[in-house]
Amino acid sequence: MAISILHLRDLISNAEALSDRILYHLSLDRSFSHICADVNKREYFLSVLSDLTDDKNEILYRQDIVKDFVSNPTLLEQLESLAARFEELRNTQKTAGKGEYRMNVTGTTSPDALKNILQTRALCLKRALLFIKAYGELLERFDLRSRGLKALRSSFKEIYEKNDFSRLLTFCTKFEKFSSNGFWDFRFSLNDEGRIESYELVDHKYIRVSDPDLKKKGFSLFKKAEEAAYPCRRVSPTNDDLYERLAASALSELSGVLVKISEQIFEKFGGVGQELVFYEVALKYINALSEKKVQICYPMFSEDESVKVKNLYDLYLLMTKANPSDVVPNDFSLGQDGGLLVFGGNGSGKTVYLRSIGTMQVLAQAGLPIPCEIAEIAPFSQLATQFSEAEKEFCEGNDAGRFEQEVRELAEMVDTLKEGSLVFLNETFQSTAYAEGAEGLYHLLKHFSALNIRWILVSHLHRLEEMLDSREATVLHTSNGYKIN
Amino acid sequence: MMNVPRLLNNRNTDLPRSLFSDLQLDKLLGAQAIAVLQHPCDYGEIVRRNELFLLLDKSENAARLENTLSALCATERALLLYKDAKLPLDTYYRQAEALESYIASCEALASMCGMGSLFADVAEYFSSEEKQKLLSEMTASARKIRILLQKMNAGFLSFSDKNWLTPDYDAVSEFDSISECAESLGFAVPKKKVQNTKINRSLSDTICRLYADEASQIEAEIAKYADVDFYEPTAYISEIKFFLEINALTQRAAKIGVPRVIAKIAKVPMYASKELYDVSLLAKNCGSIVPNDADFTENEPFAFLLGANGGGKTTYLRALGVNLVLFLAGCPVFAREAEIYPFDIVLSHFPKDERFDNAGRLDEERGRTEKMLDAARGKRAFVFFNETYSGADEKRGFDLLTDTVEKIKESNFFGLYVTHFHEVMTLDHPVLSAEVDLDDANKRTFRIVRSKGSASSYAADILKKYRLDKDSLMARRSRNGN
Repeated sequence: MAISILHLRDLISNAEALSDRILYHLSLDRSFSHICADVNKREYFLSVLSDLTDDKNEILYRQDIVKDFVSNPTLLEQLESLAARFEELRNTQKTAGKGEYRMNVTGTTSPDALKNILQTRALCLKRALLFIKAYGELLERFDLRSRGLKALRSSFKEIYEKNDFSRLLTFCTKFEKFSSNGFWDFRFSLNDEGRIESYELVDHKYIRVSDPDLKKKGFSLFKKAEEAAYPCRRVSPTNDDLYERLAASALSELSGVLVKISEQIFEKFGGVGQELVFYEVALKYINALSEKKVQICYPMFSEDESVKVKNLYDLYLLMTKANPSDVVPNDFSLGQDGGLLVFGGNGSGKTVYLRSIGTMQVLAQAGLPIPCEIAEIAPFSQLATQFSEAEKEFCEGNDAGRFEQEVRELAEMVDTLKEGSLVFLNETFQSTAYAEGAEGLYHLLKHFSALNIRWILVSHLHRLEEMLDSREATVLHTSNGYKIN
Repeated sequence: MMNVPRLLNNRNTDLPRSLFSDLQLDKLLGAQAIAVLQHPCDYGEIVRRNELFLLLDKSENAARLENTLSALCATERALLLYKDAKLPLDTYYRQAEALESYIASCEALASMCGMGSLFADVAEYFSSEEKQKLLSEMTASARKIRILLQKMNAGFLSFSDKNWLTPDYDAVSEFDSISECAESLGFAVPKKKVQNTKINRSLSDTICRLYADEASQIEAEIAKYADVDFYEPTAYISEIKFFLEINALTQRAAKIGVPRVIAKIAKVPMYASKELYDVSLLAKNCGSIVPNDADFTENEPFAFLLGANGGGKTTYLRALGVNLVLFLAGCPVFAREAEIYPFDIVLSHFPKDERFDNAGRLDEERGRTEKMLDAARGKRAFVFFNETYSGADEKRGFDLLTDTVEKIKESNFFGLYVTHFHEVMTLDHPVLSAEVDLDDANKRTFRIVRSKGSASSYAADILKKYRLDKDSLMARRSRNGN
């Protein structure tokens, strides 16, 4: 099984992956473009965010690893350097595999060609084994606290501290020099039908023959040699290539074992290199907040599944505003059921508030710290967003078309939403008559609540405040200076 | 030593091959089974075969017969390989295999008691004291040969210096050594490839030179059985295959609800059946077959069959023919009930596919009819005519038909004549016709019978359309139990 520093083994997460649309609505792509310039790394990081987990243990597992890397920044650098070279080796093996495949397809495999392949495979496996040792020894040098990195260290040690690890290295060394030793010995066996069922390479040490020619010539040492030798016969001449074909098959099979072992090493540990990228971007994110002197907090889990966050900043504004003090933090609180209605005028910070909550939830569930003073969160199995996108999507459409598009999106959402989800709604149903929009939205919010789906709605539809009672929704209003209370 | 008993003992009469193609049995059964069906059985043989087919209804009996067949086929294969073996070492293995499979075949046949009277004789023959003594000796020889071959079946080939063959003394291959290390480190290793490569003369000769003593001992063992007819049990292969093939046909028919029955053997000429099926339709992978009844007695041994195109006339004819042929070979018939007389011969006259002009075709049909009636003369025959003379003008054709039917009547043959000449209603024979089955709702099934001469807001609408209105949301919740 592949070793992971992102996921707990045997975890069955019920959480639904986030769609790209959600990351887009929350501007996470834009926020992290200010943090990590490398597109590939950023995309991988966002893909981890999308792969939502609602398992508290897994979230804490990642938090601890982040803390370890924060405490030992050089460890991450050195691990990534090893991982890069490990990946290069993996690609070398893949390229060699293509060459071998080509030879098999074109029928150009000969024992000599296969000797060379065996040498390459042995060298590759040897290097892969040495990487295991290098990884393990590197991790040994640091004082690690996290369960994840300790487990990673143990999984390397479990392999390289065994005697068979050295034995396997010795075999690899032997086959590295296979061409030069000149030995060419095989063991064969026949099946019940008298056909060859196995033909395998054996070490030359097993071959003990006494040459009858030497006896004829009266060598004095012959008698002693004969006592230690087995009966033997010279192989009759042949006019076919059976022995070559069998030798080629034996060498190919041996190469196959070496490849298989290498592949398992790559499969088991290869993913770690990629996963380190997540932590690299995470550290950049933490450093970016630190440079802006923004307090970060590793969220804890509330006992009653409520959410309480004090002085939460919107990440996108932090990353884009020249002066972080221009960004106003707000508190956020969500009970264990029902929803949150936020009313306010245009440009009063409603959408920023919604985005900061969504961003907080995604980052927290990814095991990352969040820009706030204190946070108690609850993990949700599914996050969903519905943002009014008049400017982006419907600039050429009329109101009627926009409304139907919104309804369609919501219908798809309702079809897939599960109990324990959190839904973010931004200016929903404002593209139709207010009364009708409020009426439709009211039934939809009641539906969510009935299914234990919590929701946050930013809206102008004040009529909703009258329609929903205080047990069903908390109502907030924006005030001057982007404060929400 | 007693004579070798057989499973299929037939009378000499041969049913013509054309009957089987007319009935399309050749599309349903293999050539060997057809060859058996070509020889109708007498009363006793029908009873014995019926007995075996009844036993095969039990799956364990069918499995026993399958296993015996497998043993016999293995012997046949082993003997074929032995015949083809050219290399000395190869020959030893083939001889050992032939010996072992011969023993297995004989033992399988000896154990077939309890499988009806047909197998009783066979089992007795292979259980005889003489046979068992031979098998016992052979078993000892086979075991000895295998032990000797075991010694010869592995070794080292060293091409490091001069080319040597030496015996194998428990070496561990590089593959195994590496696999052991890898597994202890928690890595899986690929399963070792099992080869199946023929040895060459070089290896065979070298092994035989290295183990010369063992080779001569094997040859001495084999020489003991030079006079044994190893092919003896294989003669049962085609016979057993016949029983299994017919049994498989009954099972295939059962899958689409077609029953099969062991027909009662009538003492007087007759062919009576309830729900008779044309199983030749299985060759066309039909999902269902419409059954019909048959009632041919000494009083009314012959009938015409009239009806619309596509009304199942030929199917009815085939249902009669196929089941009659199966009955005469001692097989079950595909019907709910049946009582049939063991007719001496069954003959058929179907239009040929070749192109004739009108005169040529008529002459060919007339000639064939005469030959057919000659072949049936003096025998208790069942004859089938399918649209014979239909190519002629109506008057000429009907005259020839009348003439033929007169001859049939004179000879007391049983038979069915499928025709579209409606004038046959005027002749003194029963006329059957294919009529739409009124019980069938889709009216496409024919049965063969005796002929009797014959306003809200826009937003609400959109919400409703996407099932997001109040009622639809409530319905969603109640569906999910909320």
